Formats: sequence, structure tokens, C-alpha cells
Amino acid sequence: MKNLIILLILTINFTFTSCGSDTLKYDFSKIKSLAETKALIAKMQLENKDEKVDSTSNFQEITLKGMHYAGVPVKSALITDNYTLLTTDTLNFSAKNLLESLEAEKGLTNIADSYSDDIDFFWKDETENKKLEIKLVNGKHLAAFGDKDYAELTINYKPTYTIPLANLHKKIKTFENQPKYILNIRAYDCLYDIILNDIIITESTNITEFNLNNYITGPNSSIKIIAKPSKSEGSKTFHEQSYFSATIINKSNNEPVQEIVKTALNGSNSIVFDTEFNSILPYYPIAWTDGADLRNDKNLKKKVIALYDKLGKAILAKDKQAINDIFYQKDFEMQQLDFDTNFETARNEWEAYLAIQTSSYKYTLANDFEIEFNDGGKLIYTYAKDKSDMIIFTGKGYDDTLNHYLYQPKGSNELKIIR
Amino acid sequence: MKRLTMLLLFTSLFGYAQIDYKGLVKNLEDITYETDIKAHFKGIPFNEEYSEIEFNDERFLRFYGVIVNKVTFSDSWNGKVINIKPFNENADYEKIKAKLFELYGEPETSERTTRIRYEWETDNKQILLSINLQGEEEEEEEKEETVQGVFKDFDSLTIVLKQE
Amino acid sequence: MKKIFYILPVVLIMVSCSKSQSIDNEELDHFISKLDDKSLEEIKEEMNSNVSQFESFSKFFESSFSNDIEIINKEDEKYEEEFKIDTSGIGKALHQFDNVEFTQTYEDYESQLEFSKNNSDSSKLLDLGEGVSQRFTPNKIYYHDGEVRTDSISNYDVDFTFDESWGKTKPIDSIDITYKVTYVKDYDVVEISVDNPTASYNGGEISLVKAEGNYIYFTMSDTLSAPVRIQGYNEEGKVLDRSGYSNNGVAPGEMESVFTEILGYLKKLQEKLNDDDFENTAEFQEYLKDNLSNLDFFNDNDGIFHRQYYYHGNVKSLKLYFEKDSENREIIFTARNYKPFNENDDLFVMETEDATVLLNNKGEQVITLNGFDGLENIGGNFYEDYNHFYYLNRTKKQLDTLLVYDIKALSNGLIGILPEQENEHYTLVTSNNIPIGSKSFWLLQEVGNIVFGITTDDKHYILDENANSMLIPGVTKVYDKQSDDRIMVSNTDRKIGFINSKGKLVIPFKYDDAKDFEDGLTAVKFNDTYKLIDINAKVLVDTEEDYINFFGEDDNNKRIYKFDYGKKSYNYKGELIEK
Repeated sequence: MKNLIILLILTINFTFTSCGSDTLKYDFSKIKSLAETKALIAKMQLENKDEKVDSTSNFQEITLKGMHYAGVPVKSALITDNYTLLTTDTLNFSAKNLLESLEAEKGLTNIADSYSDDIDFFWKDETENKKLEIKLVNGKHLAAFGDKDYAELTINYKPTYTIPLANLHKKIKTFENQPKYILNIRAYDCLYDIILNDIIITESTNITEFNLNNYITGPNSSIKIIAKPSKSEGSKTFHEQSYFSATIINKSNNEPVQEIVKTALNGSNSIVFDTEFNSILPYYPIAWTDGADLRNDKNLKKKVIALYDKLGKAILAKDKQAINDIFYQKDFEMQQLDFDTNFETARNEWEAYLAIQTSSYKYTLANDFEIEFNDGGKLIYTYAKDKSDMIIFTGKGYDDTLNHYLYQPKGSNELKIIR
Repeated sequence: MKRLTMLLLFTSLFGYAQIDYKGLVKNLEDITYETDIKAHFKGIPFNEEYSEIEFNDERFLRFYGVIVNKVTFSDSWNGKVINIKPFNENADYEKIKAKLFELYGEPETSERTTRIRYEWETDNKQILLSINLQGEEEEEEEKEETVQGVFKDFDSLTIVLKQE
Repeated sequence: MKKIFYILPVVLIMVSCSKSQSIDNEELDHFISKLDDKSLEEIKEEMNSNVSQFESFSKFFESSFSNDIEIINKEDEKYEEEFKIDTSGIGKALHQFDNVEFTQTYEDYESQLEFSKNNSDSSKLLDLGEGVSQRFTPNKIYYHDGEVRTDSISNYDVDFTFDESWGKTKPIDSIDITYKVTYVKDYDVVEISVDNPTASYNGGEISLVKAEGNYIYFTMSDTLSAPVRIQGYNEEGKVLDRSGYSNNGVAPGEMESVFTEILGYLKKLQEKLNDDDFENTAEFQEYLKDNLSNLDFFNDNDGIFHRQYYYHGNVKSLKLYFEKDSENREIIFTARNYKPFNENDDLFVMETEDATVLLNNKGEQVITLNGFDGLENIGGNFYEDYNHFYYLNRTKKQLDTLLVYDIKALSNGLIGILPEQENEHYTLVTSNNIPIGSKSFWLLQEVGNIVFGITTDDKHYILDENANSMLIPGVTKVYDKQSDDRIMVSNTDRKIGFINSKGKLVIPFKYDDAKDFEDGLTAVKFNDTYKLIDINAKVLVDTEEDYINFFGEDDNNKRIYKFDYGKKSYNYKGELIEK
């Protein structure tokens, strides 16, 4: 019944207002993409032939009467290919009204830090970013708005990606317990190699925090750390104050999982810490667990080159499906192991691939490289010798390189990127 | 007639979606040691950094009826610390001061030419109100009489809720 | 787009505040002759869009200039200085052109020039006071191919802010320009006011029509020349600041009807054009010539000129200053091409609507590259646009796309190429893209006109134009300035020395700190104090100071060496400056 009344009112109202001069004709709150914005401009153009609205321009300011955002009149709209900027009138509490319409639409959000006197709000979601800047004129603050306070609303419509890689977050499973195993290191004057589950994660580093989840494939894990004298001062022995200690913690609850005993280091030999820990996860990736042992593969070098060549070709051909297929399993497993359901992670990852694709016009492969075998030969990593990396993408004033852990699924004859 | 239909239209269009701003207003004086802050402020966005929770939307924050710009909650060795930042209005200061005097009586007071500090302490809370005063720094002599300084801004308004 | 808007502005200029108070036939002819090379189709198209432009414009005009008469509160009044001739800046103005340069670019078969002053004051022209006017007249253009042009160049604009068209696309080396300043030497003052609304001057009449609040409206006989200045006064005789004005051949109330008349006329023309009433452009021009002068507006025969002024205050009287006697001063200066044409086989780029054309130093088209725009020369035969680098293959007359990371042109004519990445070695090629030299370099650094190739182990080589490399022993760092044939360098111990432009270490590594030379002198630190030395490292002065503050500059922009927070200073000759 109530709906019927609303409908009735709506009809009456529209018959009334559509012949008035300051009707609410163009509602920006209904617009959800650049294409729809263009359509709205076309409509404005059609209905306002005298005003010379140009629907083809990619930067224009429109000041037509009848523009509004969910009922809040908009004085001017600056429309570009990258954003839409709406400015309200300095009348009738427009800032308060616009803030409240946006909060009704998007929910309450924190006041953002601002360098100016404006009060800023941000809303972000998969389709758009909105930024509201409240300009106080005769108001004091949000609890005491003045009638002349106005607002600027900047809207960025995001492209929609249908490619699976950009929508990974929809596939991520969440669990009650989602451990994130982190290796925290405190060390002085030494470098170390870290080998997790027989995979060399890093060599001769002094970085102090490592995310371990990406290299876990089952409930029991082994970790080996080799501490070596830092060669910074040319010495081959440990400094007398050198020490090393490490802890594996579960970052989801900040509880320690395994201590690696604090030790003073001395002598010139590397010191090896070797231990096991419970690496229970609610999800284990297939990863390289079904991979073939590549240690005796005579064609391995060719296969590595073939894989990077395939990647280079896919990028230059701007073959989005092929790029997706090359990286999907890696990105899915890594995001799942992070239990990350944020839409931005997958989107950013995808846009990073797109950036390589749009900026490059050439790729160069390393032909001479060293192969490192991990986890019984199932997982390999390569070190380029004749180039700075395995694959180099070049554009005008642009370069990017890639290098990944590879494996070969059993029954296949092709390598795949897995980390 | 037209205005009426417009009004009806808007109430019907937005009425259901509109946020209940009044219902979200929280009185900071109601908070006790036992209050679960996140539950108490449910629905209001906050920032959390190093286990300090900050609310900064003055539309929802009141302290004895005075509009509050920002409030932070944190835990310390002696209890739950509430840091209140009102807007720097003399009237607000007078109102808060009068209310605190009325509720907790004469405070311990320390007055200088540039600052006044009041401190109240009860079994379960400790309140500190201090403000900066207007005017040039005059001679640093201690004055016997009450300083007739003019309110400049709030220095701090802190409540420590003690565990009983 | 440019073309479409052509007719409208011309008509408007004739309508609105033009300096001459009536339109003479010469101007009309000039306007009509602009249509010479247009086809009827083009004219038709322009006319159609102009009529709709004009319609919206006249709508805007209807209400814009009649309604802001207001009474200004005394405390809101703004005043200005009483008119006087100030000639004090003229001397300086005449000397501001000692180092003028221009940039020459080429577009659509025309040269575009923009001038700038390359001296310390400002790159723009000095402001001259009231009653002073200035004019530039080009006399001679020296083209790079030897041609010297004097004919019909006097109308080219010497503009210090915008690109202006300077005729044919041929590289210019320099231009001789006459700069003439004309200033009012003596003037008459004519006053009209509410009490004395009419005045006679020089056989003409000036009469006040209306004065209300901040607004005043008066007329002048067409025979009178325009005043140098008009100032409004309030009741107390204070000079008011002007906020707006309108000068017109037509009385204020008739403006709208003028627009209506012109619009009606344009519409009639439009109709005729659309009905194909004209055989060709010439016939259309003939028709214009016969008819345009029939318009009432162009026959402004009321004999008076209308002036409306608005002030920041309530205006009661006006003073009109008429020039009685004037004086000129002029100088001739030479402007030089900022980027002169060096190599005789260089080509330069001209953008046209659909292609990039490469021209030689005679302005002849050598290669036309269809579909390219935004091409810029990097050096030699290498070009770039937003997305790519190119090599110009002159024999095949085509651009070859180079898929590389970066291309750097060096002053000795060599080209450095980074094939794949930022952090790799430069490969050297000639300006014809032929690999040259046996070494590749981590960095290429240019100081003065010397090119240094630097390897990853910090070895510095001097590269000549044939990419022969000469190691400079011991040098691990080259500073970025060459002066007095000295370049500051340092070694692995961070001791500073100097090499000459041939790469010879002429002052050994012995200083803890040093500055580059200027006027044959500099400050260096060794044995704990700063010494002033000449270019042969001879110590001229031991300042006995262990800390140098900064360099200052004297009135002639010469260096001052300052020590001990400015308490002890030496001039550029190394003489102690007495307090």
C-alpha cells in the first residue's frame, strides 16, 4: 500500500516538476560508469541545444540547471575521462545534504586526514571511488553546518574487469582460524640464508621479516637458517658482538609458534639453525606438490626459456586471457594463503600486469642462467647471468623485469609459474 | 501543493535509507571502566592505531551536551584513558567547567598566567581539565589572586577511569 | 576549428570598441579580401555555424552592460593617482634589448616566433607609464641560407608572450628590429561635470548625457581624436578608480537593435548562400561589398561617439586629457635565434594537419611523414614522439621505429642508446645510427662541451666525436661545471683537483674542498684553511679561515668570497673588501 502511494506521489511530482524551470533532471547519483556519464551529457546536450554542451570533449565544465546528486542541486560538474567533479551551491545547507545523501548510499566513514581546512571523506568500492570535500563557509564543523557551506564531490569510476585474475577475491575462502606464519629475526652483524621446506627463500640477506605461508604445503614444516659473517667490513669471521635469534609467530593472534634459540655467533664458519614447526593451515595449496622431479630433465633450460618467451609474447600481444592463465594459479594460491578477500589486492595485481602490457614494446630473455633446485627438484628458481633478470620488458623510458619460482605439473611437459 | 509533494517525495525516497544520526549520538560522560568501547560506539567509524581507538566525527560526540571534535580511548597502567578534544569555544569551556564543579566539587587547582589546571579525583575516576590563556607572557611572578586570564584554547581534557 | 570562428570575431571587432570611430572602406575591403581563398562551400559552412554562435552571443549581450549602476558608499570608494606623464622609465626601456633571443618553430608552412629578453631584469617587456606607447618594427630578417629580407616584414609581431606568425618556413639566424617609444610631451585638459555638462574643444563637442552613482555617460564628436586618458572625479575632487567602460559608435540603448540588424543581415546572407544564389566566391564578395556598407551600423552618421564609464565611487565630473605634442625615441636592436641552425644538412620539423614535414635549411620539403605528429628531434637523425623513438632513414625517406629504453644525444654528435633497461650500459652510435667505439658506458656526463663516459668502477673517460676514449687517471668524480678551462674533479680519497678541457690534470688532487673558477680565481681548502688560487694553482691569498660561508655578488654580478659569517670578504680579484 505504501509503495502505491509513493508511486502516485512520484507520478504527480514528475508531472509537476518536469514543467518547472529548476527541476531535478540530471541525477549524478544514478551514474555508475564513464559510459553512463557520457550518456547523461548526451541527454543534457539534447535537451539544452542553446547551451552548446559538447558530448565529445574529454574535459568540460557544465553548469546546467537541473543537475543534482540524489536531490542535492549541483552547481557545476567538471567531467573528464578520469574523474567527475561535482560542486554544490553555497546555499541551503548543500554540504550537509550531500554528505548525508552519500552516507545514506555508502554508509558512514571516517573523516580523512586533510592538509587543508576542508573536511574530507572517502568511500572506495569495486566500481568507484568517491571523495567528498566539505568547504565550510559560515558553518563551524560537522555538528554545526552553515547554510552556505558547500561541497566538492570527486568520483572516479573504475573499469570493470571480467578476467578471473582481477576477481580472485570472490574465490578466496575464509575460515575461523587463519594463521599467518611470520619469521621475525633479530640479528647483528650477520647475513643469513633461509630455507623453508627445502626451498631457498632468500640468500645472504639482512631483512628481518618473512611471510612463510607462501611456502607451506602441509601441517609440518622444516626451517633451516644459515647465518654467515657479514662481509661489510671485509672480515670473514663473525664480529664479537654478532648474534642471531628468530621467532616464528602466528600474526593472526600474535602468538609465538617456534623459538629459534638466541645465540652469540663466533668463528668463521656458518652457523646452521635447523628446526621443525607445526604449520597448520585451514587450507593447503596444491602448489608444486604434484610436480615432477626436474633434476634430470635434459630439456629444462629450453623449457624455462619457452615459458618466459610465452609470457613475453602474451604481454606484447596484449592477450589478456593468456596473461591470466600464466599467473592465475600463483596469484590465487598466494592470496588464499593470505586469506585476503579485499577486492583491491586482485585488482592491483591485475593492473600491474596491464601496466607492463601497455608500457612495453619489446621483451628480452636471459639465455644464460643458473638453475636452483628446491624441494627434491620439484620447484626451481633461476638466476640470469647474461641479463639483469629472466625477462626484461622495455618501453619508451620504461622497463620492468620478472623472475618466478617454476614447477612442472606431473603429466605435463611445460613449466608453470607458481610463486 | 508542489512543495508538499516534493517534501513527501523526499521523505519517502530517502526516509528508509537515511541514517539515524540522532540515534548515533554518544554521551562520553556515560562511559565507565566496564564499557566495551567498540560495542558502545557501534555504527560509528573509528581509527585504531597501537590499541588507541579514535573517533573524530563531531556529529556523534557529546560531553555534558558540549560538541566534541575528537575523542581517543586507550589503556594505561592506571586505567582506561579518555582524551577529549572539544572545539576551542569559551562557552563550551565554561559549560564543562561548571558541570564538573557541580558534580565533583572544588578541584585541586593550579593557575599560572598562561594556563589553568583543574584536577578532580574520586574512587573510580580522575579528571583533568586544563586550558591555555590569552595574552602576552607577563612577569613570571606568582600571583596570589585568581588570574583573570581569558580562555584561549583547551590544553587537555582527560578522564582516567580506574579499575575498582 | 580556427577557420570557422574567423568571420565572427571580425564582425565583432568592427562592432565593438574599435579605436577608429568609423569604419572606412579600406577596412571593409580588407575583411572581404580575407575570403579570397575560401570556397563557397567553406563560406556556407562558416556562415551556418556563425549565425548560431552569433545568436547566442547577442542573447548574452542584451542584458550584460546596462544594469550595474550603483551608489557606492563613501568608505568603499577607491581612488587612483592623478594623470601625469612619467617618462622616467623610457631610458631604461630603450636599453632593455641588449640580449634578445627568439625561438623559431614551424607549423602549417609558417614560422612561429616568440621573443624573450635574456638579461637579468625579466624575460618580458618593461612596463611603461601612461601616455607612453611603444612599437616594434622588424627591418631585416637574416635567413640561415644567406637571404636577407626587408620587404613586407614590418607587420610581423615582436611578441614576448606568444608565438606569432613570421611567414615562410626557413630558419632565421637573426632579425634587426626598430624599437620606437612615443610619449606625450604636452597635453590639453578638458573638463565636464554635472554643473558644466558641455565643453568645446578643437572644433568638436563633448557633452555629458548622464551621471548616476558610479556611472557616467558622455558623447564626443567623431572629429575629435581619442583622449590619452579620461579620469573621473567624485564630489570632493578625488580621482576615482575605474571599474569598467564601453566605447561605442552606437548609443547604449541601440546596441541590441544593432545586433538584431546584423543578425538579420547575416541570416539573409545565410539564406542566400544555402539557396546557392552565388556562382563563386568572387560574386559573394562583390555582393558583400555592395551590401555591407548599406547597413545602418556601418554608416554611423550621427557624428558622435558614445562612451560609458563605471567607477569605484560616485562620479560627478570628468577630465579628458588630449595629446598636444608628442616625442619619439628609437633604437635598433638585433634578436638572435635561441637555437641557431648549425649543421647545413640538418633537417627541421614542421607539423601540418596530417603529417610531419622535414625541411632543409632553405625551407624546402625533404621528407614528408604522413600520419606522424608531435615528432621532436633528439639529435642527429634521431627523433621521438610520445610513444616511440625513431631513426630517420634519409635514403629511404622513412622513419624506422627503435624499440629501446632511451636515446641520449651528446654535444659531440654521438648518440648513446640504452637498449633494454635504465641500469645497463650505453651503446654509442653515430648520428647515422652506426655503432662506434669499442667501449660501452654506465653513465654519460656532459660538462661544458666535454663528454665523459663513466664505467661501473668509476673510471672516467673523455669521449671525442669518433668515440675514442681517453682515460683520465685517478678521477672518480667530475663536477658539473666548466669555467676558465678548468673542471673540478676528485679521486678515491675525495681530494679535489682540476683538469683542463683536454682532460689533463693540471692541478693535482690536493684540496679538501674547492669551488669552481670564476674570473680566473677560486677558493680551495688545504692545510686547514681556505686559500684563493689562480688557474695555475698559485696561492694568491691565504684567508686563514677554516670555514667558507657562501658566495655573494657585487653590483656587477661578480663573485664575492665570504668567510666568518660575512665579516671577512674578498672580491672577485681576490682583494680584501674593506668595511
